[in-house]
Amino acid sequence: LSLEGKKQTLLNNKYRYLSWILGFLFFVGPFAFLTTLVYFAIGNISSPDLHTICLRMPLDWVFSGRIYNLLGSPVMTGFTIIVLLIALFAGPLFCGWLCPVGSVSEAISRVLPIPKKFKLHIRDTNVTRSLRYGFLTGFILVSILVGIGYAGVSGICCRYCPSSVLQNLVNGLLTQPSALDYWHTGAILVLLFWLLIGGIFTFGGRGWCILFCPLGAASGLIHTIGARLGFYRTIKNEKYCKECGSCLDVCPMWAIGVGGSIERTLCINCKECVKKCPAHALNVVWGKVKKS
Amino acid sequence: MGEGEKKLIQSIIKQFRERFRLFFTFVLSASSMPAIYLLRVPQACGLSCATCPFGGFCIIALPIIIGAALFTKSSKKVRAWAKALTNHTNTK
Repeated sequence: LSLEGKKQTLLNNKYRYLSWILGFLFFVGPFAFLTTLVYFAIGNISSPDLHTICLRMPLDWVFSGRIYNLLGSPVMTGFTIIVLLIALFAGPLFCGWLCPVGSVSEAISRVLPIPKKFKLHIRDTNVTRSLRYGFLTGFILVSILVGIGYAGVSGICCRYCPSSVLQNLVNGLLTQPSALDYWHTGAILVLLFWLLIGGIFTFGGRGWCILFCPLGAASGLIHTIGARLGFYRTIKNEKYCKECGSCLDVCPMWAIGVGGSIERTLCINCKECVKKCPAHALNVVWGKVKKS
Repeated sequence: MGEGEKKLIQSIIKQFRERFRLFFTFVLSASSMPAIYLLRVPQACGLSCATCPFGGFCIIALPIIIGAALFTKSSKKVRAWAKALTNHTNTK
């Protein structure tokens, strides 16, 4: 994209990019305004951060049968349920508009001028979907194995955690340098896959979200159900489509196939395609749409 | 065998291959999760690769694999070679 094109993209999607900052301030410590407010409301005096409010752990607990953990961590469970409910009624808005992990990698990918030929991009949405739900199946499988005692005691979430990597990066930059102790091989590998390969060297900068995030995959499935029920979703009007492919080039989730079809399980309702389409063939709608 | 029947069989085979490809992708990615779980056992290894059974394999091999993937993607020669390979397979 030219400088003018980038400026236009920035202006078109300004609310989304502003909400990324809001998401960062809401969840990432030392700020974590939203989680601090919730903690204050329930009388918890500790300082939360992105890692202490893990939205993936409740999924792990469900599949490993640790229901007592769900009840024992009402804030985490509550946040996860809210994210999934939003996905049902309004699409995975948390993923596209608030999640600090996804927004940081996408923002860095957008800012750094890496040529397109060096970026990974799977154009076949069927393959991307297979990969995404393959990883989710693997996640569930390991959770079950942990739950029945055939694997270790720690959950699969903690073995690859970009939230803790991001939080420790921010801690290292803003608060205590002791966070540098955290940087063991596993954390470096997660950083490598989340920010370098999944972010900088992936088209759209959301390689991690597309492939590895279990909450994102679950939200995608729930959004598919919600869209079938007629809730908030992005649709394409074939009548107006000029097949220019501009939507394909802006979708950070690789949710638009070569033929222009929208893969619902990948779409995060970010509206990048809606804003970019010169023919206004893409729209976000609610309720049943009359076929003309 | 008529031309129509031939085309029908060809399309069934093509469809089957496509489904198998997607299923294989699915299985491959699903099976990588237990591998991630095992690889990350020494959670607080603190870069002590010499004491790990993998002996630093992960931190050296993974960037090399990804680097090779990026090189393959950017190199026209390698892409042309891969395409020729696929085309050859398709005709058989």
